[in-house]
Formats: sequence, structure tokens, C-alpha cells
Amino acid sequence: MSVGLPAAASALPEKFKNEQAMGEQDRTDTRPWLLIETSGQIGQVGLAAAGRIVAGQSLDPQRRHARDLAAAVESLIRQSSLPPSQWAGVMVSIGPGSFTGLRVGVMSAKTFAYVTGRPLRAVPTFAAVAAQTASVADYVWVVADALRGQLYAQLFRGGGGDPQAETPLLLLSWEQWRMQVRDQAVITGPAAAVVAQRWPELPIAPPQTHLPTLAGLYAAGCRLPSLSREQLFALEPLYVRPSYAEERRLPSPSAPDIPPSSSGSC
Amino acid sequence: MALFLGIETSCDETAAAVFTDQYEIRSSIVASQSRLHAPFTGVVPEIAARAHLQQLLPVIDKALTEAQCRLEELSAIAVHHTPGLVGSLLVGVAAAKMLAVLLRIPLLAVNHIHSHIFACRLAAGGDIFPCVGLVVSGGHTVLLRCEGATQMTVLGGTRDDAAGEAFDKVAALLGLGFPGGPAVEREAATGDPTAYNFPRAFADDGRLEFSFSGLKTAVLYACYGQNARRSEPPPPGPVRANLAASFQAAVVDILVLKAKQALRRTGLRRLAVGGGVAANKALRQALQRMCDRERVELFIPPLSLCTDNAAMAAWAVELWKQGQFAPLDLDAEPTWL
Repeated sequence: MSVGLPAAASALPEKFKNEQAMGEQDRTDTRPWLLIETSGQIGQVGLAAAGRIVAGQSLDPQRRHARDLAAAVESLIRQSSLPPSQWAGVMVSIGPGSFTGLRVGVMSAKTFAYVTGRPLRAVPTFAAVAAQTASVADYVWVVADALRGQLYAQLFRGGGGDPQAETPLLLLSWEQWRMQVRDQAVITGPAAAVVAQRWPELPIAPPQTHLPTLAGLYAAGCRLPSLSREQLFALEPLYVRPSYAEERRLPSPSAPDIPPSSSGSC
Repeated sequence: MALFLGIETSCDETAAAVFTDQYEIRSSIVASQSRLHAPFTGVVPEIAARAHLQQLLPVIDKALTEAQCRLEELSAIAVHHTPGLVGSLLVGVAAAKMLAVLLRIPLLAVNHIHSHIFACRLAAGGDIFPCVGLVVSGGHTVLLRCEGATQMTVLGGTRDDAAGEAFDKVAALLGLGFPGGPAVEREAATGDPTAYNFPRAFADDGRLEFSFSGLKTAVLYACYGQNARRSEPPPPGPVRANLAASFQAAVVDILVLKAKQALRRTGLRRLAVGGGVAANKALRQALQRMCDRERVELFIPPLSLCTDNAAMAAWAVELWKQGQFAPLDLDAEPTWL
């Protein structure tokens, strides 16, 4: 069944409140944020403070993120002049992306917040990608392969480095998504290269914007509120789709459910 | 006195426990996922992993609260890292490693099978070694030679399904629901265990191995005929009860027989049995009869320590005493043989 799922909104209902105020405060905070990005093949861990990335490292893509993430965090602790209990908090990429990778990152981030008592910010991965692409175009489609002939897609409106979601996070067939795309939007995200091969007429953002970066995660995370204790305990990745076993039990759709584009110009 | 936090996420129970270096269990919390898997009549790995992610921190928090233990009082973190469903194991391992890093305490990598044997040590309140170990659960059916808590070698295991898995599948065939072990046991209570002569694989030879796939197929054929075209399961009544009782008898017979063979082959005089299937009353009674005849001491823990739990990770105290700490790049290992 192809459905548009407002997953980000339902998982974290208090998101996007007081964005501007929180962003300004975070950009001047000299205490480091721990950054965890494990949505894709190459995991990344780093520290950011006062508006910039101060340390970062990629995890070995040949090994599971679970093997190296904790050791990477320990390395960051050794590099920091402050103990983790005095860090600003943790920002974690929550997908969409690899289910297993996301679970490792989210579980590690939740544990960090639980042990240190510091805030956790759950950053939708596409918001991070949009943040690092915002300067390229006014409208940005972020896309990732969802397998089984489908992709995850979300349209953002840029402007001043503060992209706003124009659509919910969508799960569509590639063809259904293509019908949604208008002229002015550029394409980015982990599946942008596949889109470029499939539809060469579509404008593609520079390759360095395609995969989520620590800078994008930090930029997007600075605009989000921290989770409450209850939200922290309940936090899970943006899976968007149910497990395969559950999907097989769902009735077949008679027609695809494509939400209308909120803007006719992109 | 040292305090430990144990974590278990190997299959479909999310569990945490606090225990001491004297094997005192201060708390043991288990959040079951049975309700989530019941519609599928078996454990769905992706659903299990998702549930662990949501349940683990609340379960840890409750275990610490019940034990009146603060995080900074912990001496080490023990986690079941093998064997099990890899996506589920990864959730527990990720949390355990982050706890160890942030609290700056050792990480202890615990074998889930060894823990099931060690549950007998916890229940007995004294030494049970050396012994033959038999672990029977939804994911494992294995015999071990246990010279000591950290000296366990495999004598043999199943070539296909685990015994508990066979219970689940036969329960589904008979329309009895999930989890299959208790459901089949309830149904078998009113049935005739001799009504069907189901196969006992490897009963006629001395190999310490198990196979339950043929038994499962035999139940299928008995239900639906040789063509095995699935239709409605047998309705409640003597036929269904007899099928359940005869299936259970076949499983019990072969488990008891192979345990006896292992005892005779090793010359050991103690048998320790763990895993969810060890909660089955017919199996417990049959094992007791065999052990009485063989003049062997039998150890079976109470139900709460038979099914998956984190208290049995107290096996890690043995590792801690020996200074066998796990590295931070510890990985989840779905298999261990």
C-alpha cells in the first residue's frame, strides 16, 4: 500500500515549536552536542559546539555500526575537556534509513541521554539533508530508496538556511513520486544519483549534499526542542513502513494514495 | 559488594536485572512481546527488534528502581550478545556498551545458552557443576558438558528446528495460538499421548543430536492427510487433544532419552535443564523419573528463570571474577557454535 505517512509529526508531536529561539541559543552554546548519524552505510559520530563541528569521525562501513559506535563515543569523551554529564546533549538522526543502523544509533543516543541526564533531540534525517541543501535551491526534494520498488520522499522549501517541510514524509512508488515533481525543485538525498540515472531531465543537487552529514544533523537539530523523559523512552526511528510480515498482512490497495502537492510551482 | 546490571534482548523478551557478586538477584524485570507476535504464530524478528528499542530503557529503569540501585553504584554491565536474533541482540548490545562507556565500568559479554544453565545454579543456591546441561527453548535445543560455570562444551544440538519452535508450529497447525508451549501443554492435558505414534528422531542411535522437523511434518499429515493441504485446524475435542498429547510425548521422550545418553556417556551425575520448554510439566516429570532411575541429581529452575530473563546473566559474575572483560567493539553474534 502506498501511503503518505505524517510519521515525523506523529512520532514527535511537540516538534517544531519555538524553533527560532532554540536555534539561536544552541548556536552560541559552547558546550558540545554529541551527534550520531547511522541512517546509512557510513555511520558518523561527532561533537558540535557554538555553531560548528569540532570533532567527527566516520565508522567503518565494512563493519556494523554497533561494533564501532561506542568506541567512537569514548574517543570523543577523551578529546573533550568536559565530561559527558556537562555536554549540551545528544542529537540523533532518526531516519528514514537502514532499520538496523537507525536502531543502533537511536538506542545509543537514548542511553546517553538516560545516563547523563542531558537532552536528546531526534532529528529526521531528511530535515538534516534539507538543511545542508537549503542554499542550493528554494525547493528541495529529499529522496531515499525504500526498496521493493518504492522510495521515501519529502519536499522542503528552503530560504535562509531554514528549510520547512512542504509535504509529510511520503512512501511512494518511483513513478508516483515522479508525477509529484515540478520544475523548480532540485533533487537530493541518498537516492539522488539513482534519480539522475532514471530521469536525466531532473535537476540534481551537488553530490556532497546527498548523504546526511554531521553539519546537516546539527543545523536541523538546533531548530528542534528536546524530548521529555516519556518521549525519550518511547522514541523510535521513523520506520515509515511496518515490518515486512505486517505489510504482507495488510490488504492490497485498490488505488495508490497520493497526497496532493501543496505547491503547484515546484 | 559489587552490583551488576544484566541485559537480555536475544529474542522476544526485553529484560533487565540487578544482581550482586554473591548471585543475589535484587531485581528482575521482563517485558514480554507475546501479544505482538501472536497474530503471526511465531516471533517476527523485525517486530521484536522494534519492541526492544522501545521497551529496554523503561525496563532498565524499573530494574534499577526496584533494586534501589543508582547507575553510579554499578560495577559492570552484563549483556547477552549471543546467540539469538541479530537485530534484537544489537539493541541490547548498543545500550550495554554505551552504559559501560559513560559509567566507565567493564562490559561483560554473556552467552545466552550458558546463562540458561547458570539459572539452575541461581535456583539451587549452591554449586551444580560438573553437570550435563540441557537447554530447550524456542531458539535452542542443545546438550552441553559443563565442567564449571565457564567451562562448557557442546555435546550436540538440533539439526533443524528447536523444540520450542516445534511447539509453536504445531500449536499453529492445531489452531492453539501463540506462544505454543503453554497452549500445547494445556491441550495435551486431556489427550491420549499414545493415540498417534509420532517419530522420535535418532532414538535408535547414540548420537547426541535432535531433529524435530520430521515430527512437525508428521503432525501436519495427521491433521490434513498426506497431501497436506491446509484447511481449518481440528476443532476442539478428543482428536485435537490427542494430537497435542502425542506430539508432546514424542518431544519429551526424545529430550529425556538424549539427556540420559549424555549422562551415561560423560559419566556425570548431575543434570541441569534450562530454557522455556523446561517449564513443561510433562518434561519435568519425565526428567525427574529418569534421573531417579539413573541416580542423578536434577536441577530445573522455577518458571521465572526458565524463560528468557536477565537475572540468569549473573553468569557474568564468573567472567568478572576472572577479569574477562569484553572490548568495546563487541558485536552481536546470532550463532555461536
